[in-house]
Amino acid sequence: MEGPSPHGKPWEDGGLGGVNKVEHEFIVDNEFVKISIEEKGDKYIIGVDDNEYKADIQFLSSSIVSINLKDQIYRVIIERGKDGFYVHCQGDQYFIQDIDQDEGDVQSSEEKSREDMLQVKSTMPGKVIKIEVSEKEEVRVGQTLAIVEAMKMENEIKSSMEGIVKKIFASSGDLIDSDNPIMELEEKKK
Amino acid sequence: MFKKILIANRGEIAVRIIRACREMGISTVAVYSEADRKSLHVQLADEAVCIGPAQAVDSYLNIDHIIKAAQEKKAEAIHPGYGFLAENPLFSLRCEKEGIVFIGPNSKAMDLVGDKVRSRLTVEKAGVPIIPGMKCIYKEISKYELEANKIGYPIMIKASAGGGGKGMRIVHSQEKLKTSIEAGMREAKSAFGDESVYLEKCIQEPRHVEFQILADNHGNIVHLFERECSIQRRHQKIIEESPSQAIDDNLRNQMGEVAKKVIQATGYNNAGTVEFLIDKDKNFYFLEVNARLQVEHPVTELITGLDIVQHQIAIAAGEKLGLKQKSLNQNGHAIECRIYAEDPQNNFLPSSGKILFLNEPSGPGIRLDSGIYSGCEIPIYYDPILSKLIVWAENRKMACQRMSQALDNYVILGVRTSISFLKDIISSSSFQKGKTTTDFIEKHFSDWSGLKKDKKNRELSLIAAAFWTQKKGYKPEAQERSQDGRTFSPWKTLGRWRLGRSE
Repeated sequence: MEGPSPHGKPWEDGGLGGVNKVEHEFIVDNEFVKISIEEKGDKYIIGVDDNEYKADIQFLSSSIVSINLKDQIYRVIIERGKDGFYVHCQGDQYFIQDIDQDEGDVQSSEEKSREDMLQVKSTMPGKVIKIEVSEKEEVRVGQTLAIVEAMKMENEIKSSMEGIVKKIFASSGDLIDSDNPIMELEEKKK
Repeated sequence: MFKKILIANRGEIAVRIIRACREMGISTVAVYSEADRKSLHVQLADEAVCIGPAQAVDSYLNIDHIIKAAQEKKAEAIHPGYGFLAENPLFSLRCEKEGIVFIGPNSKAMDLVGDKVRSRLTVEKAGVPIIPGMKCIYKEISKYELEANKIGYPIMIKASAGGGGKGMRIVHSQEKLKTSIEAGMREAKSAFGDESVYLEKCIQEPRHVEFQILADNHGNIVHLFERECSIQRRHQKIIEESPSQAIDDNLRNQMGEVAKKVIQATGYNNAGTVEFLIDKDKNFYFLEVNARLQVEHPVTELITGLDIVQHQIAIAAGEKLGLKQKSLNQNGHAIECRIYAEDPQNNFLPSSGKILFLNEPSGPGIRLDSGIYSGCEIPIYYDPILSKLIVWAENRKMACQRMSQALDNYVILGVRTSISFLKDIISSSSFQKGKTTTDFIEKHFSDWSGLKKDKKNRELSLIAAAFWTQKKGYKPEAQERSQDGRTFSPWKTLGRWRLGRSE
């Protein structure tokens, strides 16, 4: 799964093992929240508001994060949407917005869409029926790059930019998901 | 019995009907718009026909296209579900003409009960109590003013062809009457293609109680008791239950018999619902007949143990109703919550997008009628209902607890849903006391903000989001890459197979 660059910055103060401490900023329920995570061995030191916790945290799957706080184990379900995180914890659901993305709205969304254009992905998991281009080939906007079958339907995946096929990761017959690119494009050198 | 039925609908109700058909060994034809190619009902049906572009007018409301699909696929009957063409007499008439059985009332009865003014006159003659109101539709606003004065304020404006609260308005004084009527007419015109509106007395502290009816083509009529649907937002039901807390056995029997009288007087057949309003003094007034399978039918199914859709199909096939009123019982308590794709924290704005994660509640007494799956897209073109969560328990208190737990375990990520709002209603003391009137939401939840009290869950959610960001998401081992760890159930995506009938 591809994610945005880490939104926090390492603490400038390098002392007391603080090098691994990263601060993140979010908006939840219209409230601005800072949260820091510091990796310490196999544990994490977390600062939220004025509280500090020591926790075991791990991904159980792409959407489930397990948080162990003093032997109480919590299961948090998390998915990254277009504009933030959808999170479910013990019956409560939150929508958590990234502050960085929000601030640099125009630029980051432009960057994001450029990245989306370069990374060619299927909108849903399926099977690659055919790759219509080869590496180093020039492609134009709207040109069919690959055909993917999903839910008994064939979908043509088209290029949203003019460019060159840099690398192809999948071949016909491959099962793919919507997170990993089928191929990567690059801009034509002018 | 039919061999093949076309289902002229989409979403959870199409899925519900397909399931009933499968159990009966009937093969199914789904229809879908271009926006619904990947919808669950399309995958579950034996055959599926595209009937046009995304806009409902060009697809699910297009009579010619649906009839053509039925003929091409040689479907002997059409089940319309609810909404769309379900209560359009032109459609049922057309089916009758083309020799296709319409699974619902005959077109004449549908035409009659669909006309709110005419139907009221009919049932009034049969001795059914009705709300004081206009006896005919006028063209001139001035006539409405006279009528309004006769009935007395506050009055209610209603669309003649309507339902679901569209075109409906309460007017408290004469000054607001003209603009409200005009607004009601515009809304009625765009929703139903008919701008006729009428006025009636506004009942104070009303409770909405309706009776489910089954009537076969041989004159047998039974009622399957009541559902209380007082919990409404903008006149749209969102929580329904049975039994109602408003009535006792005596009133129940009385209303049930009156409901049967309505069905008889209107010449209605198949499944239908007779809606009543009850005021604070337990007077009940006939509202209207819903000439369709209703959204909330599962509530009745859980307390009676009957399958209303299968009965509908059997009745349409000409079978005699095997049920006797005396042997029918209301058992335990059932509650339904309608799960909508809308943002309760943002003025209930419809939410569309992709379902990124789905965990459906299950366990004793829990039923989920759903039209979604993990990974599916929620299109913007249709009613935002995603599913219906229905629970059954021994009594109301236990049913509330069960519903609350089930809502807690219902996880839909990727679109906003009404789950948190429903949960707060179910667990509120005002709901648990059973003092449900149709202004319940306005009274108790108008300032609902959706902010949760549990600070811990919020912190844990933030920790997870920070962890996700720091790790840049989940990095599966290379060999796991293709499997991804997503919740996957073959039963939800498995396509065309069925039990009960060999080819």
